[in-house]
Amino acid sequence: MKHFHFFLMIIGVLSYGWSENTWAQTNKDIAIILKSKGEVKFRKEKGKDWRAGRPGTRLDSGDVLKTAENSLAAIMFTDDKSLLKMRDNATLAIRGKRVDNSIAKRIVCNLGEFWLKATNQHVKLLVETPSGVAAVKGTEFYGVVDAEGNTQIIVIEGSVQLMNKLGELLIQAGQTGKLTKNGAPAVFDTDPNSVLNWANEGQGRNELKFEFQDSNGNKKSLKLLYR
Amino acid sequence: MKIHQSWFGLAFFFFSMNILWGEYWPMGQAKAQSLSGIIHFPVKTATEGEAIRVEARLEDPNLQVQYFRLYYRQKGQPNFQHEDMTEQASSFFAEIPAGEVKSPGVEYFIMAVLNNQTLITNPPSNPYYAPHEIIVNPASSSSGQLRPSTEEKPNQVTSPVVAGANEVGDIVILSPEPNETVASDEVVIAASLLGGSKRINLRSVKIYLDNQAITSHAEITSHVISCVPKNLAPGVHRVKLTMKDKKGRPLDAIEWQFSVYSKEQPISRKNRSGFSGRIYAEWKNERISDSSLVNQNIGGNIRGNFGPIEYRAMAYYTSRENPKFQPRNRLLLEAGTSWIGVKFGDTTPRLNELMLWGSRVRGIEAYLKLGFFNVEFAQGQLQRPIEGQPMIAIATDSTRWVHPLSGDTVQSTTGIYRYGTYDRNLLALRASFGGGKYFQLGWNLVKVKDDPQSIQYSAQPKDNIVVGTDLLLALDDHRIELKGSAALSLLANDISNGAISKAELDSTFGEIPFDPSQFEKYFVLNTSLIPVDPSQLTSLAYQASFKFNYFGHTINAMYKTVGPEYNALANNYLRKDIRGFSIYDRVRLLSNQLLLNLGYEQYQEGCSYQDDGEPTTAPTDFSAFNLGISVFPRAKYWPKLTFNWKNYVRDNGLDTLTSANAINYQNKDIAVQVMYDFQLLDLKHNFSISYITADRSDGFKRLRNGMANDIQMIAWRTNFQIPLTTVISYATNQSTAGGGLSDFKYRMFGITGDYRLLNHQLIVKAEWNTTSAIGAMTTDQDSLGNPLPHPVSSDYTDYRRNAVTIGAEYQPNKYHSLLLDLSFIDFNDKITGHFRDRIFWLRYELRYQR
Repeated sequence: MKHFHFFLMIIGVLSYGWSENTWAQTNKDIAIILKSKGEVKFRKEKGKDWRAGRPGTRLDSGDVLKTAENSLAAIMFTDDKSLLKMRDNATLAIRGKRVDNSIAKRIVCNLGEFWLKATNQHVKLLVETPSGVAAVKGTEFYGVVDAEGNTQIIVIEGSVQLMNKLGELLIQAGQTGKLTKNGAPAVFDTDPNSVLNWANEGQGRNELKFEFQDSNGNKKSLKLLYR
Repeated sequence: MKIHQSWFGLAFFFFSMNILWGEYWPMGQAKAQSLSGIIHFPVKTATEGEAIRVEARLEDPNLQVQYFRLYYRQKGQPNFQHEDMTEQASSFFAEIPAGEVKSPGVEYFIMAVLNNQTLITNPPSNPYYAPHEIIVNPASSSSGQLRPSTEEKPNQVTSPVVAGANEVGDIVILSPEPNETVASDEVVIAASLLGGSKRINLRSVKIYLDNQAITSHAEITSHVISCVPKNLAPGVHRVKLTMKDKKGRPLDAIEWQFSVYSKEQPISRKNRSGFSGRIYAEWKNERISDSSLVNQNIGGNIRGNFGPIEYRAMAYYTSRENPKFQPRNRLLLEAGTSWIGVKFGDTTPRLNELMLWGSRVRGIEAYLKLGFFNVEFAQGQLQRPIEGQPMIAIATDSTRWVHPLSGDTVQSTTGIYRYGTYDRNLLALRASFGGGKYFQLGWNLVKVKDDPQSIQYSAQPKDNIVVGTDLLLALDDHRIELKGSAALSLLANDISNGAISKAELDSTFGEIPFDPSQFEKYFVLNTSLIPVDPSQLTSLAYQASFKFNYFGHTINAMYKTVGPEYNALANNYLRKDIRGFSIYDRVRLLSNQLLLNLGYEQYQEGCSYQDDGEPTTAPTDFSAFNLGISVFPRAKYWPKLTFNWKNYVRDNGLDTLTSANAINYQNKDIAVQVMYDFQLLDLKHNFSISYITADRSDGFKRLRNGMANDIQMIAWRTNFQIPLTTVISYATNQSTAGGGLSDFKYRMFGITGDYRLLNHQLIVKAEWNTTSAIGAMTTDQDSLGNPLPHPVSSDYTDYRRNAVTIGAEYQPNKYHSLLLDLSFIDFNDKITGHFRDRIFWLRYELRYQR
């Protein structure tokens, strides 16, 4: 019996190690830094050392990123190319769990501004802030989290569901949702004068893409570059 | 790199069939038609926007050729353009330019003029009215051209976007996006493996940037492949990922390109200078049938822009340049913007389809296009003077001469054995109103004149003037288009004695206040004028065409009339004395997976015979109906099918009892081609089989006028797990004519193997092919035309040809390539003899792009 228990323990340890390794492998490389301007740093979830987040740096689930003054980081998720941009003086963590060919994503932002474009509305993507959670559904939006933890979500395209313990709300493109620690989610029409656009800044160019059919029925695309 | 010795040994014993027919077997090519003396594999299908390579050779390789030309036109166009074919090892090559390969199709024929002035064509019979037809498929459908993926040169960007999931399932390009433009310091190359990671052998993954392996600098894990290249130069860059599965089988490569810009450089095209170019040098040493020929060619082209000005230069120099022939060297310099420009050198102006359309002019061409008013101008030399060859005079008899070749004494009025060509010069002017987007009305003048003093031994120098007009109306981005043009010509067929004198003019037409000699520098008026009476409009040509492109239909309809005395020396290949119409419809169904081509033509040639009062001549009616079906399913592993049927009739209504000129022919052409991609024994294969039959029967049952041609072709290409590609080809052709009086059989078998080394920088190849041909003629007359008691058959050709080629092409990077080919040919002809021929070919090319 002793031997049997010992044998079971060995099996258990090995299984745990295998599953940990599998889990570790599964949740690695969930995102990659495509662009970094200024000072961008990251650290592992349980680590203490901050390392430079340079273009090409791979991010695992749990990694934390922060940007300094006049800095910007662009991160792409490796399953569906959803894009996340962090503005200066922002801190957030990314989490993800691979499910088949997708990654169920969770972005935890405690401070700062970010922009998110989720390309696949069928893949789970949550944004956690101190004042609530935004469930993203195939959308583009800006998020602003202030020092008190209050959150504004400005939806550019698609829809976002805001939730906290006091309620939930669906906000659409052209609307701004507000989350506070002590209040239910609120929505109002976005003030056109305060629409954020920094996600396109600093690129040196903007791009317009058109798709059309030529006279033979072939689909072609035309890309216009402008400043 | 490991080389599997067993495979290498096998590859060593694989030889080629494609010394004559290229490195790969182009899909859509059928097999040789040879009855006329030209062996040619008709091309049957092509892809829009891709140049079509045409190859041919003479049945009798010992014949000497003056020129070999390819004539082509888009279906629905009235006139053919031509390209001189380049000779290599008894074969002739030319390309139909990519810009001319447009849906619904292209028509072409080949013509050769031998040194003995014999003219032969392919198709052998009435090629102008029954040319070869190529079905042109839209670029989005699968190509009819066989292009093994391993043959693609790594540094040649053949498609602007190649990206996305491959057969492994979900390899996603993360960055840069295909065709994206990124700053030089922001380049991150990344791809996500997703579900494919379970099947991929990660150790086999290789990544290339601009054909350079960068795998050692990349990070490859089970989920992501990434690499951050530094200091990328501005311009276009290409990424390629190759990998294998866990069984060692190669998987589809992923390729895409992106552009890099430097942040110091503004992106405005106005201020950006781009430049690309290539130069090449080649040396060929051929020993064919005991004759040696060493040939050196140098050529190149550059293209670029400096702000809004675009420039281009092209040059080609060959050691085969010979003042006894028209120029083979080429030189062209051009610069301009969208509204003003000039070209110097060998240009091909296109002003009007009836007057000047693509003939080579060595001189100057210029344009000014303001939109509401436009002017185009061309001046230069159409033909250079080439002296003729006289016969040897007999002092005692001025009407008899000694032929310089045969030594026979012959009678001649000119004493010229071979007529030369005069220096022929052109002046063309076009003024038009309207930019052409919706409307354009043009007025054209083309003047062509020979210089009688340029050579001594020739006859009938000419002077030609053509005036014309054209109109274009277009709607909805040219989806609806109506075009019309008309031209009137005057030709002085012999200006050797200059203009008619006023006295002679007055004696013929009465007192006329006009002295032709005063206007001689503008036009030489004399009794050789064609037509004598322009008011009869026998020298008028006009045509109208209509295009309609909606609802999946592309309809082209055209009517044209060319008078019997219409002469445009700058457009010499325009058929005269015809009228008729044609209509074509190309129908696109099932998202371009099914294409139908329907066409009908009806023409009358020799219209002037209608009223000539001769009972033995009459116009010939030509009518043709054409049906083509192409199936290109997008689903993988479904076969692709092309079927074409054409029925055409020529009949002049005469009877053989009353006229020796009676014509009544019926022709039926059928072509079927099946192409299939499949996997077998873990290898990727491409298999194609073609069958073409062409029959002509005589309505009067005159067996001598019948012709039949049957062609079969099979090609099997295999991509192995190692970087080896093989092609096995087999073809037969049987032609009969004259009710069996002429019979030709042709067979070809060949094997080709390519092996890639050094990360695809080096391609070594080995080829072997064997061809055999037997041609027999039966005659029932002797050489003097006297009937023989029994028909006598004799072979005019009976040969077997074995050829082995080994070669290599080395491309260390996107700038340089070096090619070496060695061919050894054993040619055994029972009639002309046994020869061991060889061809050495060395070529270096330098490319640059900024």
